[in-house]
Amino acid sequence: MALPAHLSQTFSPEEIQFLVENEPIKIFPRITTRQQVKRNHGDDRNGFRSTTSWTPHRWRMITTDEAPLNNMVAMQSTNVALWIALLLKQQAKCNIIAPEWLTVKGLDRSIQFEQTYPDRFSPLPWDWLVLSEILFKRASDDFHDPVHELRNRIQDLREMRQVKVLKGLKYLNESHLQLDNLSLLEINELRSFIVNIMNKLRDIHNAFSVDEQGESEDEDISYGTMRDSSTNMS
Amino acid sequence: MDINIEDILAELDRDSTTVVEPWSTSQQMRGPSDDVSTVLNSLPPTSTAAAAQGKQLGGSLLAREDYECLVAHWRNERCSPEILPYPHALMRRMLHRVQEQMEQLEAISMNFMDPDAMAAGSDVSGPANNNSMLPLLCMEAELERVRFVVRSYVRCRFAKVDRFSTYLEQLHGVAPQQFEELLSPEEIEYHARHFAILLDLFNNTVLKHMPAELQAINDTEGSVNMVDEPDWNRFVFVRVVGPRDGKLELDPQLITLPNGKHCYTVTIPELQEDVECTIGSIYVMRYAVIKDLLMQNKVELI
Amino acid sequence: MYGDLGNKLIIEAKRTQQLQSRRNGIRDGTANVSIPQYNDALVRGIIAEVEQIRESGAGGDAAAGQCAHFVNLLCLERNKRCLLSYHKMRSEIMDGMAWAGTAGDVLSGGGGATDSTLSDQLGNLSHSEQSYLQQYTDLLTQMKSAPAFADIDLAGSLTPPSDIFIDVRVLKDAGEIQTEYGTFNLVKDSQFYVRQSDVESLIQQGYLQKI
Repeated sequence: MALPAHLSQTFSPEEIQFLVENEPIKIFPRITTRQQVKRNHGDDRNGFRSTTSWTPHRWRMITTDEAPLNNMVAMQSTNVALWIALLLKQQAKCNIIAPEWLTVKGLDRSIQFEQTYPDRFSPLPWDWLVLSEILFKRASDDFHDPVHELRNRIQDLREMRQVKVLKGLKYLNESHLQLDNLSLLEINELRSFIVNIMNKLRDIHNAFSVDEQGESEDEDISYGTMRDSSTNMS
Repeated sequence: MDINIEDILAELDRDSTTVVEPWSTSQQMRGPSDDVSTVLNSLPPTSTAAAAQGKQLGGSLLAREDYECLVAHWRNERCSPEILPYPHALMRRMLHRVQEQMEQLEAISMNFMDPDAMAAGSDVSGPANNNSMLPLLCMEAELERVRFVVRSYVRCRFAKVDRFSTYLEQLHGVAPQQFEELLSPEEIEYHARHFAILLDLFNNTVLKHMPAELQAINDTEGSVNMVDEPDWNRFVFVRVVGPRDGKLELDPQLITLPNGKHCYTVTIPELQEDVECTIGSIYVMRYAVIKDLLMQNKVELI
Repeated sequence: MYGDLGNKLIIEAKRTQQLQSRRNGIRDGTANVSIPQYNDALVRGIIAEVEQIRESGAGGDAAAGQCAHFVNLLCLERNKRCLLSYHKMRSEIMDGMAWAGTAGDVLSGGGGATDSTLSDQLGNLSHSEQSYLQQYTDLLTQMKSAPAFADIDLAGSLTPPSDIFIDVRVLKDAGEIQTEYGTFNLVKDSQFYVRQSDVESLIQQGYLQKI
């Protein structure tokens, strides 16, 4: 098939990571790319100020702003896409600044919220789980707080929210569901389960209401028919 | 040969205006309908330096918005049970950028092989230790990312074209203009040819052995409809974003609730039920109920 | 009874589909290389049954005749659907082969293939299916080189790129390699920062180790 079956109903974890990597993040560059003098023609090859600040060519990006990259000043914070930050970090050209919610204080506040409101989810960013994993793995030295403490809190949050989700499954119905503040990864885990159940509940409801009206419909809702078994439609 | 990269890039910057069309940069105009008609940000017409700067900035800004738009299209397409309208102009621009960038990267990396250019660079103990490689690495990585999104998006749509082959064929006959707007020219060709060879296969193996009245591939008269339509009532996850330009007061569909929040009201016909969809919230609903809002970019599928 | 053979065919189709999805769940590229033997006997049996039903010639104005005619029609329809489903399911597996790039090997009878399972596959396809696979492969080749998609590598990886460039350590002397970034002399224990796609095969062969 043009799209493999495992991708036809949900996103893969790698794809979710890809989406998270598109988001902007603050960094402290360790190099300076800003040039005082705009490109001189021909004469400035030997006139560079220092070996660390000269780049023979500039960034020219097609998916993001190139201005922040072409105007980096060492230790002056700037925003770039996460995937760029990770690349720079890998080359030891920047330090990544952890977002405000990913601190001991911030996480404690979120945990407090989760405990205070058992039927709601704390307003964490949609990529909190994936982003924290990435930063722990690739930029653990850039955190002010000790990483193991942050990890513990992330783990706690994860478990608390998972318990809430399981409890909330009893609210699945044929109408609609509201799930504010769930992150993309958490949603993706539940996606096929919730969608399939609600589809079936809808079908049952349709059959039920048809019976009540006493009319017969031509709708084919029996399971195990040719369509279901052969074309694998959900 | 003495190539100054700066010169090449300066030239390319000036030539990059072919990519920057006077489309509106207002986000309201983007989206599945891709109906761009007004010009909000006209480019500065002053001196060449300022014009080049302005065009470059305008170009960079448009590139970012286009990319974000492309990713949104990709996500929506993956989550939607039907084929969404093809963003013709957006794809043309993105593919053009990809092609340009590939050519430029080739030119730059060829220059790395040039011994004169290498000697003029700073201490080179290995490519990785040289700051000059950094933009190149980034641009290469970025290119791979864009190619991935386009590839995944196109293949997702091809898979849907295959799945709804007979339905599309029907649409082609009934509403040809709608058909042509929905699909890209390549998809139209792929559909026509795949449908033909599939029909060949079915004819030779099954259909020619059937009685005359049952030889059709798109029989809707029998007990089961042979034309697979998208499941308009499939449940999908949506996030309510609100009007793209952020002007909540100007959106006639938006209602203000007593608690100060804004929401859209949608109706589920089968249940005679109204649901208030607050901005910033995530819902699981039937696709048909939120389809209109999706087409206006006021919600997104996640 | 009418429809029994159709049932058998569908059960086989379902089983095949489940096997495919289990294989595809592994996602390591070994999926989509096999299709089971075309069940010619069963297909012929169902077609024969169709002939039989047609010839039974029920009809007439009496209620019983009308009823028999109706039942026959339903049976014919069901058989048609069973047959079509089976063939459609198989065509989807073949599509997967074409996208995965293994169709060429299968069609050539596995002449150049390193994997012997590919060479068996040709025998598993009926004549019409072989023709279909050839035509679909040609279609894909054309699509991939369409001007719009030439730069995209349509049949490339559907896993998002990560680690475009990696640090590698040389495990054994491997001479020189040429990349677009320059020539690297692969001497044991030296380290390089290179493009992953350039060195993938060397890693697999054990010359380099990803750090």
